[in-house]
Amino acid sequence: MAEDHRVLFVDDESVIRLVTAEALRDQGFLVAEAANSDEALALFQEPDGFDILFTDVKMPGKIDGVELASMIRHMDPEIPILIASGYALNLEDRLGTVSSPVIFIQKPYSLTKLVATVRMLVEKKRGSRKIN
Amino acid sequence: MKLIVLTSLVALAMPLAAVAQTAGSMAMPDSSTEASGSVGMAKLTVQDAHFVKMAAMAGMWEVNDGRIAANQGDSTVKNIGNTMVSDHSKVNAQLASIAKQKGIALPTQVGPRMAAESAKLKGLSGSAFDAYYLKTQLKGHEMAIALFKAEASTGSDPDLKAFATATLPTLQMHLSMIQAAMKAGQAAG
Repeated sequence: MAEDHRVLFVDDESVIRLVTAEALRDQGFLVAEAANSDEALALFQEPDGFDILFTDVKMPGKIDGVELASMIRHMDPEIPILIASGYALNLEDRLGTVSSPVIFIQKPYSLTKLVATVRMLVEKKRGSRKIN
Repeated sequence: MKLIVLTSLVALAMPLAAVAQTAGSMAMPDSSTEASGSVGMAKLTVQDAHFVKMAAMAGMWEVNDGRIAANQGDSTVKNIGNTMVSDHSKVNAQLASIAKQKGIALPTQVGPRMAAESAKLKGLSGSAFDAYYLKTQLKGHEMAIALFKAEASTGSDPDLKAFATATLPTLQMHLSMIQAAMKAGQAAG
């Protein structure tokens, strides 16, 4: 079960947030939503922390999803990062600046694939913590 | 650098896919075999199950609030309310028919957010009622279009995908009606 798995979900489109966050919650994840990188960074300071960052690339403001991922990676070197975009091309070089584990998911994404990927990443992270 | 790519558009993702093949060490979940979501008795993918649940609840909410609007709105809002009742009743019946064929039990109540919006709407009158109905309809239809588009493009069940695709023009027509009414209201106000 995913009841205690915390997801930080960042997307500037409120309807996408509504549909996707609801699907993740239906599957038992705890989801915090942010409409931009500033909100995401503020949420990331919360004491309980997050098991995964799931962010869109294109967002309003000075910091886009790739830059956000890079900043979050510095704050938590182990957090899995899932990055969504409708434009796969030209992202390869930029994502190379964010150390692993980083996964890219093409928009429009299937909620089935999204939920399975988020579950796999957080369970892998928790599994590696137990081993360590 | 370890980069894994998930994609439904293979052509667009080719360069990244190449990286994933050489550098990836994680086995990626396969959405075609991942079927952990369920509505009622039938086993559906997470995508399909979420779509059925949300579409059913949104459809109930549309008919309910459409009836309220047909009773309490001004002439434009009454007209929109009647259209919503008529169109969404048909859409709900189509979804119910697909669900019955597949042994899927649909939700019988709307979610708490929708219920709260309906309760608030019922308590309003005059221009405040019209403005709130149109505002919630705008958001509701934007969400519904996102939901139906997602199912049309990434759903697994062919009947649900076909239903989503066939319903989208109606939802888009509703959105245009709502936007036109809001614009006319702003111009008049």
